[in-house]
Amino acid sequence: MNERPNNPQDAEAEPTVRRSGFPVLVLAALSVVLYWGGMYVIDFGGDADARVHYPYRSFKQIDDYQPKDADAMAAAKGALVYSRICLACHQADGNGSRSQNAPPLAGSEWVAPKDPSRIIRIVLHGLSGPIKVKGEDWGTGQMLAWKETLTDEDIAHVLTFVRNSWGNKALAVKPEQVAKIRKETAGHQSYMTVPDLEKVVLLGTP
Amino acid sequence: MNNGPLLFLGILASLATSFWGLLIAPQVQIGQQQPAVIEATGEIYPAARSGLARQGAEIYRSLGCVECHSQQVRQTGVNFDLWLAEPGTNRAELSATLTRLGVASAEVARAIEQAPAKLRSGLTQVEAQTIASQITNGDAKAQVVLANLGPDIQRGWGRRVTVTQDYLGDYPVQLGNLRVGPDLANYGARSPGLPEILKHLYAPQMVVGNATKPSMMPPYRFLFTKRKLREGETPTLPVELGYEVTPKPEAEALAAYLMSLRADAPLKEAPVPNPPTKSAPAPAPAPGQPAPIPAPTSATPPPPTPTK
Repeated sequence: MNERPNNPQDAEAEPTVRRSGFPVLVLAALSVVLYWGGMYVIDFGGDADARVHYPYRSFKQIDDYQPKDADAMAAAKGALVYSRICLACHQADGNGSRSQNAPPLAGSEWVAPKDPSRIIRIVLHGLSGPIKVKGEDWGTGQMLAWKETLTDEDIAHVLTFVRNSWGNKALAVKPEQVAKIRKETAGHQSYMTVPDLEKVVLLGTP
Repeated sequence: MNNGPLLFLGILASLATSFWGLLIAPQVQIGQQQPAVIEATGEIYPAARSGLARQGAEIYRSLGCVECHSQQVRQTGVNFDLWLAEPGTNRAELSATLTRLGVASAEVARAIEQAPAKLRSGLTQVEAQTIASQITNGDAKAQVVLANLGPDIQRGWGRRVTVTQDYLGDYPVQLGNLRVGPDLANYGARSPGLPEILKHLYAPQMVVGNATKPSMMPPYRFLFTKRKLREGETPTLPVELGYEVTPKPEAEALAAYLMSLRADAPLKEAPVPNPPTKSAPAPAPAPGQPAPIPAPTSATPPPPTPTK
């Protein structure tokens, strides 16, 4: 039984379990793997949505690839016009900018009434003078007139986009509506002002 | 056992993690799927297979077809084609616009002549929409068409990626993981018809391949009965000289199952390219022929990684 009786250490040794420290290298490697795994799930997890499969990354991406109808198509074109013309002052999130004196479009009562007569006039002829938006006073900034630069279709598309983005929900604007108002206001020389706009009776409001 | 509780907790944690990740999470994610209504046609998808096709699925399973045939179409990316949908009446202005956009003059004439015609491919959505909005003017119309990319789609094995919705009616789902033969997920769309399928099962080398590179599929002659032709008789299935070859019910069921394999419905989660068609009624495709699949162009640049 006892084959090595001469070794004093063996004779004394009792089998024990010592708690050994966790190797730092293994811990580091594990955290790297965990981090990579987390990033992978965020990248390819598709928001845990059953409708998202590779190569798509999110359902919104798939949805954006398939404009459903003419209005959605118009809004998609309007987004291009917005990024070219309006974004500089009104910002990508539609919240406007104090420093550029551009009132917000998101949730604005001027943007999203059922009848777009006033907002079409603003885009065609620009706006000058004080205006109250969402209960806040906006100073004496000036919006340029876009009647020379934008066609009726451009204006209809961009308004359709603005009226259906950032939580706004309103009917699409048709190019014919813009053309009609462009004709009606052809004699208007200067920028629109709030008193000018308030003369316009909106359909469908009491 | 000095550290019994610790050991127990460690084992419990690792088992619980894998149980969660491999069973519960997928169940939560895709376990509740129901047949959906396809927006374009109003049909329920996936439709249940016919009784014969369901028997065929069992034959497919028992013969081990899944060892050599997969049923999953893969897709590597998406980009956009630009189509001229309608040339309109002002051809001179349209051709000027197209030339300004960098379309070769010979191409311009051809596109206007043959509209609807593809103008550009391999664009991003914003690029395509920008160009389309410049072309669309008056009654000339350009259309942005989604294009699915991937080797499987180029081979004509399908028109879009297969998604979980496609397999809702299948049990077991026979995805397969080896492609000795072609993928069969969308075989029904390109199937050559019942006699050809039966011929293929009886003598694959007669249908696929050539002398130097014959089909690797084994013949399934035990799914057929054969007897010598009588004087003056003509065979109903001409696969073997001088013999009348009749499919057994198993062969008919298997063929019915193969013809029922379809994965090309335009689902919301897996859009199918929908190029514009001529406003005049196009000649109807020959019966039994699948809808024409737009030929993959070799000019298509390598698929871009999907935008995040």
